Amino acid sequence: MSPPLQGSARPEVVSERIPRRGPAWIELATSSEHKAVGRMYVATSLFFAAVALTELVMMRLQLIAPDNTFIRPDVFDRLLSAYGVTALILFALPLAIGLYSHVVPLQIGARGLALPRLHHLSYWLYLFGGVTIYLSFLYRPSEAGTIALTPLSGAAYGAGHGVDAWLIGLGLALLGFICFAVSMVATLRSSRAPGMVWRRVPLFSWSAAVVSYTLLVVCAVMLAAISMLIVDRHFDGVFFIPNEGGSPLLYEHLSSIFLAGAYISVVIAACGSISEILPTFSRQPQFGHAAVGGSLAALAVLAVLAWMQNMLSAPIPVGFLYFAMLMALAAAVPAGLILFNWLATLSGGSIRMRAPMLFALGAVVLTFAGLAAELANSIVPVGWQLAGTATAWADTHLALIGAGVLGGFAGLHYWFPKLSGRLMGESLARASFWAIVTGALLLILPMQIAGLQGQPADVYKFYGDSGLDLPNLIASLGTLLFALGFVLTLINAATSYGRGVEVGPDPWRASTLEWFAPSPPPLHNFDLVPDVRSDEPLNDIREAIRRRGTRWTPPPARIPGREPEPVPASAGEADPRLDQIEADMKADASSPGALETPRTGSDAASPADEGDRPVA
Amino acid sequence: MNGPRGRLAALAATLSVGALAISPRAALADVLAPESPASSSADASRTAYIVMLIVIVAVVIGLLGALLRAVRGGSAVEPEHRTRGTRGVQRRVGIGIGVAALVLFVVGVVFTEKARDVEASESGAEPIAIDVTAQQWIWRYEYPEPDVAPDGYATATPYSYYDLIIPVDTPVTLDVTSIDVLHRWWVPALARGVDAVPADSNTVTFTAEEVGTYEGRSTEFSGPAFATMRTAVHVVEPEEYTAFLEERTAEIQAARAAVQAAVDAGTAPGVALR
Repeated sequence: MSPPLQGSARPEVVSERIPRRGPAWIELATSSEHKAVGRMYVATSLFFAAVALTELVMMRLQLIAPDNTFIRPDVFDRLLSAYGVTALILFALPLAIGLYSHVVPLQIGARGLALPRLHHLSYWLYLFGGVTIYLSFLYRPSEAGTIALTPLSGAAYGAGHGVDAWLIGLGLALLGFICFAVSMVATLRSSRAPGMVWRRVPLFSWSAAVVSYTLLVVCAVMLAAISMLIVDRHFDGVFFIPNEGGSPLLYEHLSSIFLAGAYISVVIAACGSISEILPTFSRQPQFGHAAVGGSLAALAVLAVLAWMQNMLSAPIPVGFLYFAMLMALAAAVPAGLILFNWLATLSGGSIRMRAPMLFALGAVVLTFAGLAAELANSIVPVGWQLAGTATAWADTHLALIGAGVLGGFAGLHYWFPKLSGRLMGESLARASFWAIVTGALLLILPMQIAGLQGQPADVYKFYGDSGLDLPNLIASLGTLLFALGFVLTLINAATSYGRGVEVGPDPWRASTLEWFAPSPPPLHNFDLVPDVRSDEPLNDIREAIRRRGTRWTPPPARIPGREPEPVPASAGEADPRLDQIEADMKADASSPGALETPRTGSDAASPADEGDRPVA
Repeated sequence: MNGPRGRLAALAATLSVGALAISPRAALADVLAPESPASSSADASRTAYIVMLIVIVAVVIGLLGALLRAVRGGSAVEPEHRTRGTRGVQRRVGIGIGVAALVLFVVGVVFTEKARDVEASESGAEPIAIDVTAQQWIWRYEYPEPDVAPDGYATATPYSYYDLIIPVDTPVTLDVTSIDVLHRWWVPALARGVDAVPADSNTVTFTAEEVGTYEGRSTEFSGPAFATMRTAVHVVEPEEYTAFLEERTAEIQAARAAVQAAVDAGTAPGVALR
């Protein structure tokens, strides 16, 4: 049904793969190409996920029984100090960043990144940051707690170089994230395909812009705090030294701004993935594209402005607490709008419950339940009671397991065919999903109750007389189940990468441009950069092919005003093969006048209508 | 899920939420809420918590129900809302949530003011001012001097470690600070969490309404023995409180006198070394 190739295509550089110059891992490690960087980010983040998981399991094993002596208190503090930064900064954020690096240029129809070397640098900064933190385990790592609050992390109490390694490692990673953010913003601003105006940018790419701007602000804030703390520790600074003009509260403010931004970035990245997955697997267009986009941006701003909701019991005038509470409550409006539009997208659709959809729906429930619980903690009198308790810990973990783990894995399962050309195993994914969700709930719900009974977060033991035995036992067993499910997904990804079922360019029949490129995409992403005429460009391409197919077998006489003839079943239902698309496009490009597709206002775009547009 | 069963489930959810709203104490007893309060400020915090718990449970049940309906092929959203490109719908939903958020804000402010117990400090009764000093990993409480004659030493301030003794039905103001790292004073049955920040003071006022002993913990990570940093507040009758202060003062003065005697006799460790 596709036209035969006629003549020769216009000359352009088209190649399936470049000649190998060295061993594959050297090629990968030295490549500044966005897909290679993205794959490295994803792989490294999954490695750090396994590390964080090990730490969580060890801490929960210590807390499985009252007055347990499995782990010494100082070792527990080392695990605690490494766990927070590993789970959030070395796993959840970089997994999102890896998917962004790989997918966003494809999704906006770009040939590559605007600043590839900066992007490449960002990965190595992140990796060396993580390595720096863990190298301190060779001597004596930080024991200063999740975010190393001063004065505990100051020179007087945080002796040794563990805190230094922690600070410098975190600083390197954050510097990497800033490089990523600059590169991503530049790419999104300068490299979008013709016709890909902001209102048509897919929500995942839009969320990449929101996350990048957020990271630009909050990473800079944390880098400032880290620099000041290093000056305090080694160069007689007094930024955070009490009684000498410094203020420990300043560090708490700065780190809270950073944590609020990092936290909401993970949530927004998950929202971006979910906003691609729900429409694809319900066969419906995204309802309220603009509203969701605006809500994501508003959520980022308001959540960062509500940073003081984490420090309600600090000596801060009550007016500021009201401000934090107001911002947190205001953030409920965009969050609720996002949920509403997702539900409207799903409504009446034909749902295909494949692994990405399963993870996405789980992420929706857990993330928004966690956000609702966090909202309760930001009501001042509630936060006064629950700050620092196991309840607050559990609420944060509920939202972050929802967004970081389930949301991240939803994106991983969804784009894995694009990363590797292969599907992840479906039944293993299902087993993993249910183990993760069950385990996470068994971990979180008992901890929420234990906090109400007075258990603080971050303690290395609880007392036998406090009636907390049962919740802690259940939570520890739940953690083991959670870890099992998590490891199943890691195994699934590792084995599927080389041995999964091979798929074509568009296994999910999605509507965004990354599925227009082969899986995995060639170095230059697209042979031809398509024109974008709507927010569902791949549907337009399919429609154009369908129409052309009907006209070519046999060529009918066009009567103006008459509807095109019905589509043959084979062309309408089956997935359009890539070679079909390409053959169509090449034929079209070689003789643009051969197909005079009549265009009406609502007519679909032809990807090949590019007679006079230079292709980068 | 659309038919009678769906409606039944929605009804059951509404009823259970309603039941929770009507009898929070009975339904949530001791499991789902912080310790039963023994002061009006803790009571305000607990009530605010229960209000928010009901809101969260309603939101989560609603979300789950809507998702289940949508996934089973039903419509989670009113059909007329599904018309594409209707800005009015977005605006209506946004305004709806915004109004709910504003109501919660007002509720939050009201309960915050209650929990601050401003009336207690503004009313005629002068609150008892107790200085609370945290250090790794103990609490030191310094009480105002009682009406006993000082014996000539610089201070007769009674103090105690770990255990705080306060009189019942009397407003108490704690001035919390720290001499090393961050800590948090938290006795959930009596008052809110109060951060102890070095070189900074943080005050809380409350009135204990029931005699008894109330446990507290620090919930701000402070180093290796953080888990052991507990405290207890003993609420006693005013006479007992006065007696305690006198007893403490006498003990402290006796101890000082003993040390002074040892110094005078040249048997104190520091003196002996000289």
